Amino acid sequence: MAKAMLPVDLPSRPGDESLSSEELLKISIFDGLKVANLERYPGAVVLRRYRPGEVVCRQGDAGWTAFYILKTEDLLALREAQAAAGRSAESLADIRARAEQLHAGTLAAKTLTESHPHLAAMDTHAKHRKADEVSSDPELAKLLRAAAEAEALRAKAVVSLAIPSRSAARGGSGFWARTMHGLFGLRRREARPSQRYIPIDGPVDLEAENPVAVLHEGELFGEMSCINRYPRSATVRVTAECYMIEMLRNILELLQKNKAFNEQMNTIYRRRVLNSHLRSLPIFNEVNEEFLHQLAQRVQLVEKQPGEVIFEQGAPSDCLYVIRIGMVKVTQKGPGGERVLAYRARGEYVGEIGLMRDEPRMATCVALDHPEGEGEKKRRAGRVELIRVDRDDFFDVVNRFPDIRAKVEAVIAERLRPDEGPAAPRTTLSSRFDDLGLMQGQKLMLIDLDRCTRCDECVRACAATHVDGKTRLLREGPRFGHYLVPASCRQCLDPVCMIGCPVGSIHKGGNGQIVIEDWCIGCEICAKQCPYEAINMHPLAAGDKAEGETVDVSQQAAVCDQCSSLNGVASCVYACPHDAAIRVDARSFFAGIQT
Amino acid sequence: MKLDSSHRPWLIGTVVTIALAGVVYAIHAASAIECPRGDSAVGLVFGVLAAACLLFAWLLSARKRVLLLRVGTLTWWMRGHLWLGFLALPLALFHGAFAFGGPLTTVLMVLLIVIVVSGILGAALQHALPGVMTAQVPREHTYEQLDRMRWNLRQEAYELVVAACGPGVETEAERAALEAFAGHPPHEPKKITTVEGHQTLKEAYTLRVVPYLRGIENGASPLADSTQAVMFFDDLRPRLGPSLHPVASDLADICDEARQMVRQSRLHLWLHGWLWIHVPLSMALIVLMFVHAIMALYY
Amino acid sequence: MARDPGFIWHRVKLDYFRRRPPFRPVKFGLCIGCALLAAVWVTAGAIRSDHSAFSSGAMSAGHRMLADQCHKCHTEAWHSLRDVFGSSEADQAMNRACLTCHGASIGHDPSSAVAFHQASGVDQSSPEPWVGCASCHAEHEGPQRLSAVADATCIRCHENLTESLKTTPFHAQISGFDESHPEIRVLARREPDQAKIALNHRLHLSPLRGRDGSMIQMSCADCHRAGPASAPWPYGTPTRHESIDSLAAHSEPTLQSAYMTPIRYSLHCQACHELTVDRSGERIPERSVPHETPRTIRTFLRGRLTEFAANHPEAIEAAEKPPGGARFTLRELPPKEADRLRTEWVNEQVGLFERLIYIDGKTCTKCHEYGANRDADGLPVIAPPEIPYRWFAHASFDHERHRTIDCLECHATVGSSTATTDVLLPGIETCRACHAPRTGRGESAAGGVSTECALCHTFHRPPTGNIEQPTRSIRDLIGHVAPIGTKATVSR
Repeated sequence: MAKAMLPVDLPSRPGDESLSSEELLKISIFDGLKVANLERYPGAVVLRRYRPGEVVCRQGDAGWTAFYILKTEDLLALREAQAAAGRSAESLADIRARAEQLHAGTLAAKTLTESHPHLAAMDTHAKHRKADEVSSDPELAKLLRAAAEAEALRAKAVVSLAIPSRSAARGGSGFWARTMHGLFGLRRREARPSQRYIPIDGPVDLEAENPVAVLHEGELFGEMSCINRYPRSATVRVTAECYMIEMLRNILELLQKNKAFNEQMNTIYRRRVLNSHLRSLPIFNEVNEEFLHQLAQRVQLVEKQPGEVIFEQGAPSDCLYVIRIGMVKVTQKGPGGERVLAYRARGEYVGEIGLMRDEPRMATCVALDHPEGEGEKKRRAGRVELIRVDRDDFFDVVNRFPDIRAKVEAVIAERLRPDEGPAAPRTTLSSRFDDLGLMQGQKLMLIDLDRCTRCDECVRACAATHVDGKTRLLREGPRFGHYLVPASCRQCLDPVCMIGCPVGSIHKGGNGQIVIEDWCIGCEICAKQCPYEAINMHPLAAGDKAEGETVDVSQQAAVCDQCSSLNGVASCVYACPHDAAIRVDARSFFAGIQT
Repeated sequence: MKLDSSHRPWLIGTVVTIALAGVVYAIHAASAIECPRGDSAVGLVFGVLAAACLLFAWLLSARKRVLLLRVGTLTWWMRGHLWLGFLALPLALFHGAFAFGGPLTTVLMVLLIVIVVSGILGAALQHALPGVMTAQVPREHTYEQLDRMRWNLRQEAYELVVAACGPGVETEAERAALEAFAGHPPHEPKKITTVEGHQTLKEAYTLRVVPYLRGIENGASPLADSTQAVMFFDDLRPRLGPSLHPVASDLADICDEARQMVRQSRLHLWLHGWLWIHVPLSMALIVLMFVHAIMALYY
Repeated sequence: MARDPGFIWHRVKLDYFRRRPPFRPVKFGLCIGCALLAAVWVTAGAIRSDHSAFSSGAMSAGHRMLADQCHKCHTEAWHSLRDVFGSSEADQAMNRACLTCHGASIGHDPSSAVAFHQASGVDQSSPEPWVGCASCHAEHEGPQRLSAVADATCIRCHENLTESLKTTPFHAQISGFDESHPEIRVLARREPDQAKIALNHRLHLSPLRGRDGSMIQMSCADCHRAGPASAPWPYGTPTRHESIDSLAAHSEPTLQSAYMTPIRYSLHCQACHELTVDRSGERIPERSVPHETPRTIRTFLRGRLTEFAANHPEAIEAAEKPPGGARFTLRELPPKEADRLRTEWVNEQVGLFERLIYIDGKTCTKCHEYGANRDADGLPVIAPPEIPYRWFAHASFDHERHRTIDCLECHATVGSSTATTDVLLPGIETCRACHAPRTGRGESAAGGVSTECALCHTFHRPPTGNIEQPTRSIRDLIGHVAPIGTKATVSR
């Protein structure tokens, strides 16, 4: 028998139960694990009972555990096992009754999933509304209602995100500041976010307009806090009596290696999240709901590590990849050596040329990452997640939706243009270029050091533009030739800064800029994630402390928002008296550089 | 500011304007009836134009404060400042018919000449020196941060040495200074193993590196000169154990960065020092210009 | 081991730009300081009513005490501003300011040939275009003599007069004392000398026999002298004051040294041209009549003859003797008859003498012009000679300055002049022999004397009539110094 770790003492609540390994294995997600695995970590899992109204975790609290809401079936199996061992306290009859109640509804839901998957994905209220709509089809309506009821019964908790709003004018309320604001009225708030979903540490994305969602039995939340020690990203409040198991990271990692667990999580992901992700990709914008759901079932989610080859030049073209997260590099071997054709990022797709024309791959595609960093700055390695659309499914989409075919063919024509295609001169593989991550910059700021007189006007202009008077630009950074690459957001094609924000306050704004909202709790994750020191932590003055249900905030992150709220160029570029500061799209700016 | 081909439109405009003004002035000066004076019709026009040029030049500093009012990029304003400011001098000379006049106008003319000459000098410096600084100071920092950076260097050096050799009575003064600055003590390792040569290293650090980093402007220290510094560390390394060689190299690197800071300071002062003459005098110029305009019309 | 720089927000001070680097407050302070210094400098003077800082140049030598009393001349505020808008009121006011001190010495003579320049500056009712004092006398040009007006000032208008005047009776393009300068008008127009005196210069300059029989050679200076007469006139008897001379004297201004002493009979002609009527001296003891008007001569003759008649009755007796008749004596005749006889005789004698004087060519007709006209009393009307004392209409010539030159060097035509109508002025070429730019060297040298306009064309006439009573006080001029003799004196 393997050595066991020291027993863990998770903070206890009334009604806690510690389960034996054999009992744990009765729970569906532990199916497949061995007792020995669990024996290693005594006390790392605890069963908790929650009553309606109780708060499981609060937004912003420190957290290092994950929660799994027990399904009724799980509970039944558990109690039966305990009863067999003579340890049960609860009445089995109630649980059985509930399980029975759910059974019918679960069957109905399954039938619905098979026949109308998109309807199955709707939430409870939507299902009821739909049932009213399709009163002409009583079978369907009945199915809908049954499924909806089952779902309602399974609903155990509500997860919500509190967004305390702030007064509009920050950054000085003295006479001078007010006069200047009144005179020029120039310090505007950045534009409100226009993203639709706020990702949280749970199986569902919250809508920005109404950040409330329901958690059901069989769902896992708190995964990010558990693995990465992030603060809790949302508040979970129980609405119906339920049981949850709270587990530490070691247990969760065991689960993540478990097939049964992954399948369950994937199903939930597909049902609750994939649709919204697919919908956000431009190519699938026009596709109708039903088809999208069908497609969602058929696509594969592929994860690649940085440096991994996605496909090789010359290989047969059997699928199309849509980039969900991360960046890929497309290179081509030619008589002159290997040349970089393009960098593609989120929302774009690769492999369509070979697929449409039924030719072998004309280029190699490699997963890419930001520079890794060293020492204190060693970052969590990014991952590249792709959605793989197989050949048949792709042609299905393209044939049923001629608009999409037209779009794809337009893109192919664009990509094969003489000055865009393989024959065009490209940036050669400059390792320093890659090391500095310059190709990420859609609005890369460069300061020409042969022109810059170090007068600091750009920094002052940046501070003057923002309400809080903090600069988002610092004239520190690496040099590339005679350019300085200062510490300022370059609007990466593959923004990794947003990975891991526990409170979801960092997101993309309407113009593609990165925005950090008021409710940043100063956990430094985004600042450490950014490989280019573009996000900085600014200490808050005593009077600017955050209010609300969050913890005391002593510093907040600030990032360059490309002056998106102003008409015209960014303030830093505008304010340079010597024409030394420029913001460029790195891919086209450096495209003409030959060696 | 690089005076490159993008200035051509301004240059052509200025040259053409001076030529035109010269022709007008020559005709006016040779005319039978009116001698060239400040308040003859032509003289007044020149005076008003010169004043307008100087006002625009003066408004550059105001423009820098209200950047969010988008009335032309700073690059355009800077170029206007340069060329219109330069243009003001010949126009003023034509206005005064190349005479300096009474006390007020003499002072004005002298001020204008000093300001324009200092501006030309400054433009030349700002044309040439950025490239020099880029080449000579690879590890450049923001000038205003240099003090802070120097403390960072001292902290880094202290932590390096102490991590390798452990703290001691020799390094106590430096530790206290660092704590006083940062508000918290510098990071010190928990376990220290004595390494071969650690005493030598500590001595070298305390006797040479610390005094140098404390006063990098002082050119007396051997570490202030790159050649002497190379010799110093080359001499030090053989006396240390092999595990301490990286520490010595890092200390050498830190000293090199400190030397670059000195170089950067000097170049920065050259880049911006002339403004001490240019800007305050221009304030006086503007005040006196208005006074002159009013009083000359009064009398 | 590579050095790990750590996270940027630990390395740098994020609000460094707020805390101004060391030199910024100093620079800002310098800016404010310089601006304040400039402001203080100008206001300090202004507060003490000393606007000399705003002067546009050093004052002339004569006006230095006015350097800090701008208001003395700049009487109108916003002078230049008004000029910009085309008003000339302020300029006229400033001209009046000049005249408050300089009015008397400038002189205002409407008949003067330089009336244009003067009248228009002083007399606002003048219809001429306006020329202010400052047009020629530019102040604030440094410690010069303000009255020294440079040629350029004159030439800038006279170079092309029609630019400023539509029509002008004057030569319209004069650019200096060169070929563009016209000939002296009298010579250019070939006008005759209008003097009504007969004089033959050639005769007078040839050897002449004097009264005592000796040969006389006259020289120019015997009759023509400029400057105060130092030596006695050789051919005059200045002790005899004749009213006729005074008559002439009243109509001519005293011109000091510039002009020749006007020709007077008593000074220049008398010695030789005695108006001898009675050689014996019997009837006219002076032997000659005075050089007076005919009326005075008649009175003189009558007096002397009456006296003679009273003292020499035999003359009358001899004259009145009837043919073959008895001799009579005046004593025998009743007094009335005797008086009548005496008066008749005197009248007759006066008539004879007058005939001698006026008709026979020995006396008045020798020099004076008069025809057969007689006035009511039967006396001839003798035109006043009106010998011109001044030939230049618009310039002045100072003979005293040229006293070292022999008269005939310039007045070369004198020796051949026989008629009064000859104008004996030298032409402008004679002047240009010296008054021209220096050229040549040695034998071929020429010119070199000043050709300044102001040398000859003195602009302002000297004042006529009485000098006005001076009324200014020292305080007026100097400003702050108390009059001498009072206790309060402010050191300056």
